[in-house]
Amino acid sequence: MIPSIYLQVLINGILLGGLYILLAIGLNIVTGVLKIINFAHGDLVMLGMYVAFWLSVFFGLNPLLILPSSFIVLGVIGLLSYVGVFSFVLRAGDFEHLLSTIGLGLLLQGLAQLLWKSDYRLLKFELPPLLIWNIYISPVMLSIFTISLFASIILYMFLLKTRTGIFIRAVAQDSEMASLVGINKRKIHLITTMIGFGFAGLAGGLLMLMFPAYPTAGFVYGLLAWVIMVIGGLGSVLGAFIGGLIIGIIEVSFATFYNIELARAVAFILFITIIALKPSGLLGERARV
Amino acid sequence: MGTILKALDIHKYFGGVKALQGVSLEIEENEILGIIGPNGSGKTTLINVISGFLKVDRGKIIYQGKDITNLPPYKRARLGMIRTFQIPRPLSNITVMENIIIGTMIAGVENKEVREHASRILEQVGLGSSAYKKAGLLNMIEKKRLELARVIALNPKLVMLDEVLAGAHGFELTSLLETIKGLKRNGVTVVIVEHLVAAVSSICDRLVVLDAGRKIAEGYPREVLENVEVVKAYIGEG
Amino acid sequence: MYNIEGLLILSISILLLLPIFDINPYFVHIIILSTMFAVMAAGWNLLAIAGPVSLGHATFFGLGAYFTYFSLTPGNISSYVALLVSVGVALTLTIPIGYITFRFGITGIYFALVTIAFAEILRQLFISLREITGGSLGVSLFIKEQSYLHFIFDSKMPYYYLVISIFLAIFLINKLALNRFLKILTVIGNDELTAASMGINIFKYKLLAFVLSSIVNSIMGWFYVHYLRYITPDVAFGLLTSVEIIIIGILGMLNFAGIFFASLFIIPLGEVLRAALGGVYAGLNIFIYGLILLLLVIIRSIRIGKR
Repeated sequence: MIPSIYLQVLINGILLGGLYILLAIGLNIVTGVLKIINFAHGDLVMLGMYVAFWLSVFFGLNPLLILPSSFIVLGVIGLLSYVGVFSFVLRAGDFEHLLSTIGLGLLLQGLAQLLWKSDYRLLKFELPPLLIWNIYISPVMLSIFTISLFASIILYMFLLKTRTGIFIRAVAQDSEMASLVGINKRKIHLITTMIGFGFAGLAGGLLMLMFPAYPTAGFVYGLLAWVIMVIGGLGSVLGAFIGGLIIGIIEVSFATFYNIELARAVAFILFITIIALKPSGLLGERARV
Repeated sequence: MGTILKALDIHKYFGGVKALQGVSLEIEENEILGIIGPNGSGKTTLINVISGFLKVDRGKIIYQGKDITNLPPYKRARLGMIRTFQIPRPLSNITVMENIIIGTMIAGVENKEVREHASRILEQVGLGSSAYKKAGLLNMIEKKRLELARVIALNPKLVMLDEVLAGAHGFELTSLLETIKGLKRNGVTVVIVEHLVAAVSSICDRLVVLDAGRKIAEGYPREVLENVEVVKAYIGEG
Repeated sequence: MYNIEGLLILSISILLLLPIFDINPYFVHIIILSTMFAVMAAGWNLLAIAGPVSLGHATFFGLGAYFTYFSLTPGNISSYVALLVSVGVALTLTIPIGYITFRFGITGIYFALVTIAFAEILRQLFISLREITGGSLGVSLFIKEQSYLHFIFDSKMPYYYLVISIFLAIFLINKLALNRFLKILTVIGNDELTAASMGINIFKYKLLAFVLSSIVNSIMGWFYVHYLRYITPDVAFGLLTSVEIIIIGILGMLNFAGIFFASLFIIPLGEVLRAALGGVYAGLNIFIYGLILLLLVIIRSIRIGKR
């Protein structure tokens, strides 16, 4: 008989993992399609958290109802980012790509700090835990998990079934071929940016239900998103799933048995270890040098 | 004159594609060897494998008597094996002159003589007048010549030129061929990979013909070109 | 290019002669800080030329600073030894990181992430080890006697001359002795395939550039603690420090003279914001840096697109 604490940790880990999958997906799309390393991802998530926080406080509504606004606001930011930055920067090299997203991230971070100071913002939730088969499940975590899963599946279906979705996958796989076939690359880049940023915002909104928001929160979530992507392998949706679950479980285990800082530290160390052991390039095959 | 390079039973696969299937080759010192064949026959892959930019799946490469199969590309370059790229890779943001100067510096030429040395090489390939242009602004043919110049600057022993003559004709072509012959006079071994046959056969001592990853003919230009198999291979691809 | 370097020499000469007149100590302080950052940006730049973009370069500065503090606190260790310790400690991080990331040809993004991760890990670590590092409030150095064993002086002037001389020295070394080295790094940064085809040992050169870069930055950490006698984990390893270094490097168009003048713009800007806005300054500072970075990159990209 497995002691119920381990089962508890496992379940919680999976629930959290669902959210982490969502965290990674937004990053995955933008990186895979635009071939740009989005350093601002964490800061986008942070912004999504703040949007959910302030709207929830302002309207006094259940944050779950506010979620779409996180998605929309960040989608708009995606639009602005593409038009204002990416449309210029995409024609240059990796160095410029890197720096543009760093600049974007700093801009957002600075803005958050300026507007809302460094104070931790937290939404207060009191919901009694559900007791299912001897395990306590937080309804909050359950709803987060369900929504994340739902969103991920919608995205998956979108990419698989709709015309735009197929175009997006085409550009991700081979952008030269895609333009030759008549796909408007720029439009696809724009749409992808908006969707990717939107998902980052959504992830932020969901995170707001459990964690505090502060201007530098983006750092941790951004890095987590990267860790998940690296574990799962770029472009692999299944990989993002697996990566998200692994990280979720690790984090909950360490947080339960030790503390949250150690959990995060372990995630970072895992990240560095994976890079050291699995040095295959992120974007395509590399020739020997 | 001995053998400078032996490629033994080279196999290279890309997923399901068999780019090279058991190609063996010996390159004599100080000869000009032409490697020809239709598109996709594996010529560039062979160069990539010999120079180390791709790993062989099976086979050995012996250079100057030593097994270099597992040597990384930069080490092969230091042993005097220099190759050009089919799509030229100049250092675009700096001038043509700077491109060559870097090459001569790496080859160990004294700082004071570097500039003069570089100028001479540029004259040799006909880029003297473009010396101070940014390399990125050159046209394709000029870029290929820049590649050639850079190769010369590095003081090579074995040179592998990947389609360096493409697009050149008339006077340009003749002077390029002269430059290549000049390399031979200086003791360098030259391997020329070309798709178009005519120009190449005039200066090559020997020819090797590849088709679909295999060597189908080898020998003196005249015999090879009259070989029925060779003609079939080229016509078949048209 | 020649004009700006001439301007650099001129400016440095003026700066060196300026103390003959009575100058505002705050001005001296600004020059010291700016030059210090210019040195660090130049170090960062050396690595960036070859390709790897370090986003956590404060790491080496911070290690240099803290280990200088640790070395000097007992009181019986000289500044010279502290210098060796600082550089040594920085290298214990540089060499493994460099070895692992460069040996396997890991793409630049991984390197960038690893450098950020290390800076952040160290920052958290030094905050949590309160007993030795004083936590987020930092630590102060208490050495009262002026002596040449310890580089502690009451006046700012020795530091002023020291840091400017260091910058000048590095500049001259770059110009006169490192020509070939720099050119090779440029080739690597431009196109690694070409570099390999020219016989360049990319791993060796990247590692060398990384080592030199971290040595220079850790020396500045050593300098900082001697000058200000105070260090906190945020200054040592924080994002703001790393970002300032990068911005100066890029604004300076990645060359020495440019970096010097860029630093003279960015550092005073930071100081002005801090003075004007108090606690809020950090947000505005970062926001402005982000904006500057974006503008620089966009302009650069447009120029590249035109070619």
